Formats: sequence, structure tokens, C-alpha cells
Amino acid sequence: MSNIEPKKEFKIAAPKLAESLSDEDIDQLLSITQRLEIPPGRKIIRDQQPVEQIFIVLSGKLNAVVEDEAGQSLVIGSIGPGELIGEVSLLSGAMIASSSVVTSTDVAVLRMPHLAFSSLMNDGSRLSITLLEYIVSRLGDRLKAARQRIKSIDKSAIKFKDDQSRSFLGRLLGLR
Amino acid sequence: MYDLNNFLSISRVFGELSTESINALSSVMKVANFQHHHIFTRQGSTADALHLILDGCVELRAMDDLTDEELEPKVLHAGDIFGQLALGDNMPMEATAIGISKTLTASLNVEEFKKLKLQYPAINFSFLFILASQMARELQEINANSRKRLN
Repeated sequence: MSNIEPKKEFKIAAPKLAESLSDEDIDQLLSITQRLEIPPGRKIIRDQQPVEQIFIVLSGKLNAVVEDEAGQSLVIGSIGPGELIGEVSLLSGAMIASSSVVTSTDVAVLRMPHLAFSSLMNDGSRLSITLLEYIVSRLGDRLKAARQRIKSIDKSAIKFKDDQSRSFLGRLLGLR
Repeated sequence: MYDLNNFLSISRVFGELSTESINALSSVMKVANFQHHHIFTRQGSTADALHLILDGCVELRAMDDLTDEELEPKVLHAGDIFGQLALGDNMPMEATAIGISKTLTASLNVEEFKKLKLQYPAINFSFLFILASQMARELQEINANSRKRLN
């Protein structure tokens, strides 16, 4: 259990979100969430499986990982305090995770069931608008980072192919 | 004079807004006709407006950044919107939007949207939700592509 008062802990974890919310809004958010502490190495969301809750990270680090059926995996991002987890599957309408999320350190989160999130999104409150604005801003950052990551992966793949071609051509021409 | 209020009130995207919000939205959206082949936005540029198609068709065309190959185009029809990323955090357009017929659109300028959202939280919420849904779908697509690359 954390010794920090819950509201203070939330304000430290998500300062940008907290500064747009009143104390009453934060109380409302805390009242519909449950605080959990999770040890390292736990998979809190499984790739390609239904997602039934959303998490707000209070402390610690997690990795987002995509996995294929053969068990190969690729880390696609790091997640820290103030980030949301699980909202993408709900907002996209897919309701299925597009990556696994694994704790890489001791982690504290606020857990919110999908139903509570959906109710919040339908109540038209200041908390719902502020939370959605925050989600859009975070998704924008993640999207920019993901596009950048895809480009760099493609470039390194092309470079790898180029290197292979050059070494093949080099062998053909007797070059080193 | 085009009855934009009526179109908005029965549209898939804005139909759930209150009459007051729809009136406010229609008062700042600009209705305009465009010729066949009109280019509304270009891939990579920062758009300055959201467009709602009232009549006609618009094709979204995107090139793969690295291979310069054209990706499969998507055709939008009356009731569909494009350019919504303009209302977000200066996100670059993912596709070029070209009219493939004469088109009639209602456009919402970013500056007008900024004024509107302060006055009508429900409109702000609707647009934020549209934006969040689009970004979430795009992130899921990117993750799915990353998974394919494992093979």
C-alpha cells in the first residue's frame, strides 16, 4: 500500500490531467476506480484478447508488446505514470487488445471497468470532457511516436537489405 | 439555400447533438460546391478544416512514405467526414482528399471550432470522440502491421 494520499498520488502521476480537474472531479474519478499494485513481469492486457478495463498508471514502468502465434514478440513502446492503458480497444470499437502490456517494474495503477468508463463518457460532465481531451492529446503523441517507429523499422529493414545486396554484389565483383 | 440543419440532425456523426448545438454548428459551417478533381487536402500537410460531404464523392489517396506506392484508396460519400485531424493537435493529414465527382461540402474551420467548443461542450465532446476513435483505430492498425513484420 502507498503511504501517499490518493489525490496527491494522482496529481503527481498525471499532472497535466490533474491541473485541468477540480478536487471534486478527482474525487469522482477516484471513486469509480480501484487502486492496484502489481509486481514486475505481470501481463495486465493480453494481445488479441478482449479488454474489459482501463488503467491509469500511477507509478512504475510497463512495456507494450505485440506478439504473433509463434510466440515471437516485439516491444513497441514504454508506458509510464500518467499514461492510460486499454482505452484504444474501447475507443476503436474493436474491444480487442492490439498489444500486450507487461509490467517491467513494480507498478501502481487505477483500474476502471469499461462500463464505468462508458458511463462516464455518456454523462457529459466536465470530468468526461477533460478526460477525453487528455486521451486525445496522449493518443496524438502515441500516434506520432508509432508512425516514427514504423518509419525507422522500415528504414533499418531497407538498410539491411541494401547491406545484403552490397555484400552480394561485392562478392560478385571481388570487392570487400 | 441548403438546409444544413436538417442534414446535420439526421447525420450519423452529428445526429445525437441537441437542436441548439446543431444550430450553432450549422451557423459556422461553410457550404460550398467544388468541381470534379478538386483537391481538399494533401497528404502530409496540416489541414485547417473538417469537411462533411453533403453530396458527391471524395477519394482518400495515400502513398507509402518509403516505397512511393499508392495504397488502396477509400471512397467517402454523403454523410462522411474527413480532415477531422485538423481539429486535433496539428496532426498531419494521412491522405490526399480529391473530389471524384462534383461535390457539395460543409466545412468547419479550426478557428471557428475553437470558439464553438468553448461555448458548446457537447459539440466539443462529439468531435473529441470522433478524433479519439480515429486515432485509436489508426494505432490498432499500426500495431497489427508491427505484428505482421514479426513473420
